[in-house]
Amino acid sequence: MARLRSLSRSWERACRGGGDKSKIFTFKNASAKEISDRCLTCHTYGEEHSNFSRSAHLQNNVSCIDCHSPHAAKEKQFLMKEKTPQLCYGCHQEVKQQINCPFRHKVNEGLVQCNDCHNPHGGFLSRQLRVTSGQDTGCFKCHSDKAGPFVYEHEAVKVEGCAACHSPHGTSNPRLLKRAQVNLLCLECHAFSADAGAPAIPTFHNQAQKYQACTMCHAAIHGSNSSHVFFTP
Amino acid sequence: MPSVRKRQVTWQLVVALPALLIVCVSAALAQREDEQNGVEQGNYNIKQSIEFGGRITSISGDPQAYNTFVNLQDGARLLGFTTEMKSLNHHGTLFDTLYFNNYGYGGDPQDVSLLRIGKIRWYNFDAMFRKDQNFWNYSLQANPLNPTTPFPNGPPGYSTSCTSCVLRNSPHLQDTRRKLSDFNLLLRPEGNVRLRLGYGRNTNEGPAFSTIHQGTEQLLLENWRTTVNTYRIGVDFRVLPRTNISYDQILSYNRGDNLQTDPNQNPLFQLANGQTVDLGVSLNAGANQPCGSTFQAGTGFVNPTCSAYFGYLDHGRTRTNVPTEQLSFQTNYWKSWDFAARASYSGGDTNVFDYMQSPFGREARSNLRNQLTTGPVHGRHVTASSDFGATWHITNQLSFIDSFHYSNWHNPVSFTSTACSFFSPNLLTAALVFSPTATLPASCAPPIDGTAGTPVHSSGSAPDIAVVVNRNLLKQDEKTNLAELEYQFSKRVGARVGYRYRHRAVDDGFFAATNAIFFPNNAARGACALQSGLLPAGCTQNADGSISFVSPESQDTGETLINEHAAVFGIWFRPTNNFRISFDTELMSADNSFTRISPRQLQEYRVRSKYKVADWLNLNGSVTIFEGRNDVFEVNDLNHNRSYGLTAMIQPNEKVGMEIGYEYNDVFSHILICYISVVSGQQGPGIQACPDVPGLVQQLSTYTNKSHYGFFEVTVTPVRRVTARLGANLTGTSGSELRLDPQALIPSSVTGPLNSKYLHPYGGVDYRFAKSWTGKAYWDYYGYHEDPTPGAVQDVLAPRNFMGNLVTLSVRYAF
Repeated sequence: MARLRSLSRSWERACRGGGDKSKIFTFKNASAKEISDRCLTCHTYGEEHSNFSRSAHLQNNVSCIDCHSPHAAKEKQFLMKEKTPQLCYGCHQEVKQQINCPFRHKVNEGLVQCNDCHNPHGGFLSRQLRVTSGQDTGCFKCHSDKAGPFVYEHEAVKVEGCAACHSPHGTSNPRLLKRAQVNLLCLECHAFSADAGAPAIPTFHNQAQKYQACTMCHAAIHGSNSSHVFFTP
Repeated sequence: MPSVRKRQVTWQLVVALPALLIVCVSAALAQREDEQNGVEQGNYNIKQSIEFGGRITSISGDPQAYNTFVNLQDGARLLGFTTEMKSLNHHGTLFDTLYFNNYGYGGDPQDVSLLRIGKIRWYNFDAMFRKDQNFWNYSLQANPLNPTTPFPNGPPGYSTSCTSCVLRNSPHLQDTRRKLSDFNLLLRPEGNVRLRLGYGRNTNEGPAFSTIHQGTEQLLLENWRTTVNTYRIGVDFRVLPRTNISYDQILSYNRGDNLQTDPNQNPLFQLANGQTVDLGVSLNAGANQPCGSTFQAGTGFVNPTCSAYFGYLDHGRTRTNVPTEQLSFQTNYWKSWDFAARASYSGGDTNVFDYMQSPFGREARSNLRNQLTTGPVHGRHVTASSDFGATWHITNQLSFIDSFHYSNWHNPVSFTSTACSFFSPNLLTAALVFSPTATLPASCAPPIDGTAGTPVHSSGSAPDIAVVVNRNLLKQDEKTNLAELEYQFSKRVGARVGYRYRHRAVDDGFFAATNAIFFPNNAARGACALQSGLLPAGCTQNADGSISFVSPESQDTGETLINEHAAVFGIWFRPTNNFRISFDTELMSADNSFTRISPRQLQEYRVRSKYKVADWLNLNGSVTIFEGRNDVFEVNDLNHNRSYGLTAMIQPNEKVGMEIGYEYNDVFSHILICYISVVSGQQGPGIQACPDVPGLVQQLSTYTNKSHYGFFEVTVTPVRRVTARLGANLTGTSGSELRLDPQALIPSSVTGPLNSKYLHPYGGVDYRFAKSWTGKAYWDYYGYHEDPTPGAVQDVLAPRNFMGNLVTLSVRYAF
């Protein structure tokens, strides 16, 4: 109880002015920075909130109470003003369009949540992305079979990330690919042998007749332990 | 009498219905009160609700596409179950709060359970379980798009019309089940020292199909089975004021036990001896797939010199463990400073045990009949990363922010493969087994049906026995620093300007060493093919006619250095409490790129606004623009992704609410590509040759994808016990892409999703018909339509279009 009383006193001081009505903090006219400073007086514990003062949200004047409602929360977990993803869609409208594409991550169905992949309180990676416990891209938390390491790496996967080929929220293209036809996506990199990068396709890959989908043969395209051309896992 | 009885019934209804209505209304009102208050029992306030019912579906068109996109089926369901308990005096025996929520059970593709228990000062425990039935069968994916060109001399069903050549299903169909479990326990949540324990489990199991290219494209059945267990223990210290130090130990253990086999022997495809074979999924007579003269004249038997298979096996036990240590801290101990930092190190091992790959059949190019590849895979997965963030509040308005990220990972992995290959001249002949006297790099057990003799090798035949050491090292070192000045002019306006620098060094190295032997006949082949009549270096002629080959270790290494410089700028306004708008941009330029599609110049612009016009009207708008370029010689990459959206939320009173919105998304790219597309040995006219690769042509590949997405939802509550909803999510996509067959369009090639519509209107009613009881009736329509490509047999024989009506009836009981 002593700890509870201590917490209660902290909250009293932070929000209610410690009994002095002139010091009561009113959120209505406060800036996002002031609001977040006030909330972070107590909510600084742990890695989740540690970078909020440098987050994209705060830098765009989005404060704690734009997502959380301490007194009138619709969602009791974390006192959210709205369920996710609807709350996130309120600002990130382009994502709502992507998540409603035929090929999508199942966010609307409740299977995947925005904060599975993003930390809304900030982070050091672009898009405030989360990583796995082994510091790999967060995609590998579910898609662990793509994580490797492999004897034969498809280097772009590890170096540029999954988003080099996939649109992670959703798209009209199968497998969330950035192109409707997988061959065109492959050919965008595998074009010139003069480049230091990916090799060009061999001259027996006649696109007029055969090899309609590169991944039909190169089935283990994310990486392989046994085939340097990704034929087998 | 019937008319009298009818009048009696009518009279009873006239009396009973208003009475029932009054009861329902009062019950509904009472129920709302009950639901808000819950039930007090012992030291707890308890609120519970259960919603159960069923789904009725009616699907026309392609059920496989419906199952891929929607997969909601007929049957009874637990649509929701929630229990919430709160201790009245915060002195519960085992817990003070409990929240338990479930939905989807009984057959929905997604099931979710959530449990949270806590006792103030003592612990917080949360658990989450998610299951996803991931059915995937979009027929265009990895489909060879076989034409209906009939095979000469084919067996019945393939001779006159080859409609059965067209694949209706994706060769990479999958029906897997992913289960994600997360358990977290926090002890003494408000203490100066607190302990965190966590466990996560991710499994993915089920059947899937895959393909392997070895002369033909065998369709393989894959028994998918992967598991990741993650254990976490951490401790937080809060012994200094406004400072937190955390230490975590995490162990991630990854298991993969996938198994691939080929059970797909087509009874129509028989050899002359009656044995059935798998000819693969590419059945294109015009392109000589799987081979020229696939079927023998007069008999319809499979040409025994064709590539075809009797069986296949691929299996290995992959085990990867990644232990991670992490130290992090944050402090705002000093009034003007705010720090956060984290450092972690992961160093784990990966191994593949009992690896074996064994095709059995015939690869025509090499005369390969049986092959067994085995060997261990050993590797390491090492990552060191750290972050450091500091904010210096120079004045109340001005701040300096610095964020630094460092990451260094390297993955050295080696595979020592032993491949034993056995050859035969055709499918009807078992492997011919040579008896060598020379020293062998490894011993090989001959196939059970093998017969003694001299193997028949082609110039493309692999060594008969080969031990190859493959070692790969891929690593990346990355440092990013972002420095920003942030100034808040007033509570209404703020801005920031900054500079980001990112340096990456990507190194890859591949090392290989081979110890092999080539048996006769045609022993001088492959790496030991004669050069000017002499054996190359590393090849030694043996007395038994074989040639041994030992290669020096070859190396292939490379390094890519990339330096990125970016200017960042952002500004926000809040001219009134009801209106806010923010703009931010990043302008990046790099001196190199890792891939051709990685931008060397990038611009991102984002505008987001919210305007509360009146108490009943809110408007949100957003513009996000991404522009990327890698506009260098022979690449010419230019792409953009632009989105514009507007949403209106209208709520004139408590009884009516509406949300309506529109989003336009425009994706564009063009880039030079090289490829080959010849018909009858001729290139298409007017296409220039690829400057770097003889035999390929070069063309600008242009891709466009424009999506219009509109949605609305109207909620009406005419009386307190009835709520009606009507809404829709509607997406239309149009686009274009380069045709890779400019000379002669492939008759089966289709535009597919680039001209498609995905429609999901829905509506329903909630009716609180008695105390604690609510009946729900909802209708959903899911429709997917791709505009057919004229003449495309794939669209005629295997369209992906569907229409699905789904009715969900349920009853919710809250108590």
